[in-house]
Amino acid sequence: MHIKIDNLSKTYRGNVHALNSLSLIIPQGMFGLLGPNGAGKTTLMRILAGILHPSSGTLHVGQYSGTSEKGRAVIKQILGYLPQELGMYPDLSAYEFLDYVGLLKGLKDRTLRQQRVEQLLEMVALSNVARRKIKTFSGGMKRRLGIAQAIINDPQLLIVDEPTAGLDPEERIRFRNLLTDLGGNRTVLLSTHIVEDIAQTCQNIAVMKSGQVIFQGTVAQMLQATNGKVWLITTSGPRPEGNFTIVSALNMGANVQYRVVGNLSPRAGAVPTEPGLEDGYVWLMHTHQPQPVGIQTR
Amino acid sequence: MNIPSVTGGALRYEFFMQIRRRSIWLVLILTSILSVILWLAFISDASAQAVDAIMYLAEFTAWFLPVGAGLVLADRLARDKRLHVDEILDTFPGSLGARLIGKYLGSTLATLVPVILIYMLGVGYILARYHDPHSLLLALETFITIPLPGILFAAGFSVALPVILKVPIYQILFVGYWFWANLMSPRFHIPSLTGTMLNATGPWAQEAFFHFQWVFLRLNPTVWQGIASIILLIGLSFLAICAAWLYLCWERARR
Repeated sequence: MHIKIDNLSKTYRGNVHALNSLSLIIPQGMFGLLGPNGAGKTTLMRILAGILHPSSGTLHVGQYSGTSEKGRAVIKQILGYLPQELGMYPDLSAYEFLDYVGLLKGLKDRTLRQQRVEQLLEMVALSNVARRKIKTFSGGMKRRLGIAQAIINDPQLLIVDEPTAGLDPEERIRFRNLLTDLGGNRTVLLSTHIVEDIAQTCQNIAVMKSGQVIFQGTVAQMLQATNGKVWLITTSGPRPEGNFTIVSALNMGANVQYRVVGNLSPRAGAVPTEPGLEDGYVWLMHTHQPQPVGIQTR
Repeated sequence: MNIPSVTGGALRYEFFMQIRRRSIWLVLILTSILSVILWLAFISDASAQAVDAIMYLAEFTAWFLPVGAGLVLADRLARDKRLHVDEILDTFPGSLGARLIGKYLGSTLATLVPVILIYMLGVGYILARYHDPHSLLLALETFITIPLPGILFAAGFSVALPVILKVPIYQILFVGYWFWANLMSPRFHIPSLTGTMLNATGPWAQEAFFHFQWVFLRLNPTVWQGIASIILLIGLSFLAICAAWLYLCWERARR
């Protein structure tokens, strides 16, 4: 199932343009959406999930229109959503919460629903704490329970918004592996500002800035665009300056090695290096300016 | 999407979540103290019969326990927003109206459990004192017709109105409204709803079905008026839930 977005705009009260004529095609499989805070990623996720209505533009999830009430109702039947700020009822146990969500998502058959709940708890490694109240769970456990509730209805479209924010490295790796297992025959849209999450899980990505898509393609294409733009500058002197962004600084005792992204004029100590996804992201942010926006009306 | 199964699921889990709250037991026990004090004062007379004891038990239960019920139900809908659960609930295919009805029924039924237990304690005392087994049937009839409609009335508005009012503000206004609309004695010469069918403490049903005069009202209603008062109270509670549903649908459409 693929998603087609055409000139989608969203303006909040106070003339805040969260999305500006955004166009995007999201193919089946794992798709990463990268962008800084305030780029419009969560707004786009919420529109796809049917929580927000766009100000203008069209959106199709498969054959269903996401801008009509009827279309949204159908999309919700095939949708799983894990929001950035995940809320759960703290006094319910993990089992009870999943069972409740299963009921609300239309899993009427009690036996099948119970089997599904147990299967999911096993998948997200929460079987041994199934009867514990959610308020006793750690952040990582809540996130895993969150993904379980998102897939309880075996959705064709899974939207995951900033799923690893606040998780420790081990939990983050576990979560990424879980998401990768969920790819396959469904469309998984992973929105994050953590580049490593995308690098480890997605082949196709889009980068957003100020409500617009500034790049869409494969990871390989993004890296190709960044070829020749990434340098290592080793110096014992002051921090280098120029038309570039310092991505990292590694203190090596007598010298400091700076990894920079940008157009570098020839200088001593600057060695070109292979770009990584983070470099590609920085290069995009550095070079792309969002298009000017007119007054949006409904 | 199957509306009965969504309503049933919401009813079940809202019941579980409400019944587990220690605060509902605490609040209802505290509000019942006022009822018990008045009740014991009225039946302390040696000439009081079992019937009088049952009638006063129902009457004073209806005076104060709905206040407690309203207070503990006021946060049920607002809680979804506070806990950020509303965001995933809005993405579910199940009908918002079905969920809302389930929430109202489930949390109200859970709140009725301590109310019924407290009431049964009173009935137990009456049985022990008067040894009249017919009191049980009368106690059931009076509970269903006198305090229960008022509790459902309070529950409907307490679940619905916090959609537009902050919960603490609603709770304060609700307590003020309850005493003004239901328990304002005519001797204060303050216009109120006490003498109307909107009195949720059941004086119309009490006098119409059981011919037992309310403490400071003389209504002389017919049986049909008694029935009408119950239908009005329960109907208004469902109207309040419908209004909340319409408001939430409108708010959703505006996002």
